[in-house]
Amino acid sequence: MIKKINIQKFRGFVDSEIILDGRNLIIKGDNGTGKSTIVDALEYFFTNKIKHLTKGEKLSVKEYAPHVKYSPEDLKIDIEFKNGKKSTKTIKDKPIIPPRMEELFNTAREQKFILNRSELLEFINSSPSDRFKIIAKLIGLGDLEKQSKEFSKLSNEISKHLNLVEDSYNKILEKISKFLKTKATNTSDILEKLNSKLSKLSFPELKSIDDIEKYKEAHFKNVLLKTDYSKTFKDLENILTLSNSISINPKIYDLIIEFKILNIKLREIQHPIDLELYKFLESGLKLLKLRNPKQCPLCKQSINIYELISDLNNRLMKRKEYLEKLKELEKLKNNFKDLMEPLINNLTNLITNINQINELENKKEKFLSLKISVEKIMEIIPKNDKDYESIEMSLKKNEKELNKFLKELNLECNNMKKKLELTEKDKESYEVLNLLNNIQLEYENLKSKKIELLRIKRKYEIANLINNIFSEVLKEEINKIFESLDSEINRLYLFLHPNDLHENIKLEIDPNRRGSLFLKMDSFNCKSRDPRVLASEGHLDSLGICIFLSFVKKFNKTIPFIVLDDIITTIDANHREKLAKLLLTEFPEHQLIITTHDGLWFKQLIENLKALKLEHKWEILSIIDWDLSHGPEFSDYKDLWEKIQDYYKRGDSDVAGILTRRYLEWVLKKICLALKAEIEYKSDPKYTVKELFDSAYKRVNKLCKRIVDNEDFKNNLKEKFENLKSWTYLGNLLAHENPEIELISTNEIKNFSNLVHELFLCITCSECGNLLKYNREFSEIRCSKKKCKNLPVKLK
Amino acid sequence: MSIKANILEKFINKLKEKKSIPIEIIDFMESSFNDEKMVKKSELKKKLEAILNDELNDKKN
Repeated sequence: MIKKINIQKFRGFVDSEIILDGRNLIIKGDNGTGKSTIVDALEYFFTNKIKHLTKGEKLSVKEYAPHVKYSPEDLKIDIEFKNGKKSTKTIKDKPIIPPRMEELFNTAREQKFILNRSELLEFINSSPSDRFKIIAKLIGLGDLEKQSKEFSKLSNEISKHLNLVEDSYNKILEKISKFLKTKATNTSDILEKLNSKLSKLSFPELKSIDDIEKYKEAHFKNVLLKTDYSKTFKDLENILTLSNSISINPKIYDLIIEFKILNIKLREIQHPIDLELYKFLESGLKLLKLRNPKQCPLCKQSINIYELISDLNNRLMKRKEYLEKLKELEKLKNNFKDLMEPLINNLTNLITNINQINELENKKEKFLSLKISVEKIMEIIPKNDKDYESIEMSLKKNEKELNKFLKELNLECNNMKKKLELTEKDKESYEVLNLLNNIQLEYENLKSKKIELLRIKRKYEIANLINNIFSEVLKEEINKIFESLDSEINRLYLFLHPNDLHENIKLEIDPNRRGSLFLKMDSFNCKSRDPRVLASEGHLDSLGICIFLSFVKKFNKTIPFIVLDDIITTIDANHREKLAKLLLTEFPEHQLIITTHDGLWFKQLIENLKALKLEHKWEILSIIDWDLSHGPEFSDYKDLWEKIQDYYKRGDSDVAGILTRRYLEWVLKKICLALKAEIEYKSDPKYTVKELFDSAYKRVNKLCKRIVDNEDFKNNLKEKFENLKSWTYLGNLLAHENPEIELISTNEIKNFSNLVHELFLCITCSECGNLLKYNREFSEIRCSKKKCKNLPVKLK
Repeated sequence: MSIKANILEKFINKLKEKKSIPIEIIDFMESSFNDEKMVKKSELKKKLEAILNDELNDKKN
């Protein structure tokens, strides 16, 4: 229990102390006077947070909490507990938890102990998942819901990974199945199917796939050897292909003939004189054509110019012809080269291939010498016919040798190939060997994937089990909590609304969704409906209060205080009366801190606690003023009559008169309500004193006529009304700041005050002080307290 | 004991009944709860990896 709260430099508080000494607190104040600051201070002290700042656009506590005229470091909240222990909260530091109070501080951090007006409908209007969160916070389960999510996330993450690994494991199995040409589902299945295949091919059984290597060596040695020769086999095939393409092109011989002919032609043409002479002849011919001389310009002999020109032309023509033949010869040489080169290249290739096979070493030498010989032919520069003949002879010799060597080579290669060729049995074995090789390779992949799979499966098994157990325990425990709560919520709701057709309120966990909660009630015989369908706003507000209070009552054993911050808005006077009784009677173990701006609710609470003789357990405060420099100004609560007397004692009859007028209005309203007087309905519920007086008086007269056995009560009541009737004008005079008030004497005002109070006493129980009430069912006027033994006034 | 502590205790006890969950994992979570801390997904994953590695090594040995 809280003994003392001291709030310094927090919001609008400069330095205020509220001494409770473990008692409950009712505090009234107009808007903006600092009621909610006390609530914020308590929340900040225990939770280091102020929840309403986190809604909508967030605002930091550092920005919100410090008094505007002071630095944040000046902020300080001190709380002293009934056990004498103290702690302090500043903007920087959390309160140091006093010894043996850890449970209170830890629970207050997690569990909701403050209810404010804005939160009332949260229990009802929220979505099922938000409602679950709110209720979880109410009983301090917020972290558990987060924990549940963490477990679920991990389980899902591993499950996804597991699916991926399973997929790749299955793909390897599919590959193996493809090799086996039948579906294999696991390792033993692979072995079984493989053995069935081996047995069909008359191979012995394989004991384990891990033994494939040994099995291959034992049963496929020959095929394995042959497969080693497969490269040689390919090389031989290459050699054979090449050897078939090697030959001396017959065109070469034609070319040699052409060479010979051309050589003859060149010899036939006169051998050319040197180049200078031909230049001279060309110049001479030009000169002769140009000058047409009769004599030679060199020897001065007579010349026949026509004969000389003809002779020069002939000589120059031969020269031209000779040059052309030389060009032809060059062309033939190139052709020869072109025809010889492929032969040399093919021989080079063949030698390279032969070189790959040791057994053909002797053949290599032969082809190598042949190649050298052919290359030599190419190097010969023929000068005469003999040279050509020598080339032709060499070629023919080489061709003969080439054909011989190729024949030998072909023969040997084909022989070797025959030796290496697979028999039908070999082919069959070779296929099995291929199958074994493929399965061996994929089986290794499968094995490593299986290890990975088993590891992830184990991980998933643990994570999933943790997640499932946590969800089950959480669901089971929350269900238990809700089951035990339903009866409490219904009991409290029935207390507030005994005659309304709402019942069977239920909190139900959505079985299909994690962290989701339905709220249902039976209304007007409609079963399991959302309360918003058939209940009024006031009913929903009081349902919200009942849910909160039920949780507090059932589960808040650790936090000894409950804060109700301005929770009354839409609840009407009758139901407030019931709520006041409920709060004052149902929570004797808790320290209640109730704030309100509503004077009527404030008064109802006070009247009820007086009636229940609980005044000593309550601290009643009003905030009568506030300013920035001094913070709120508190005043102890006194009821109107006590206040009126105080003002008379102070000699301030004017204020006493104004308060008397308010007192009269309040008394008349009470009488109208208690005796069920008829009051004309008004959209603006403000009634004048005269309207209230007339209605109440009319009702009193009517009821008095029916009183048969209590003449004293009847006469007293009528007399008080009669006495007051002639003074009601004062009610209007005292209503406003009326200057005529000065015309009224102090005695007149005092007299008026006494008459109002006597009227009030007239309709209160002489035994317990509670208000008397008209009971239509029993035709009587009796004390509103059910257990009061005062005899009722019977009516006809 | 708070409702939260009660639920966490029941959860740990139920885990202990399951032999397939390594005791190191349960101890790890229990000590975290005792320190008023919830178990983060990444931490639990890390712990699981470490424990499964140990299990694998034990099997190999």
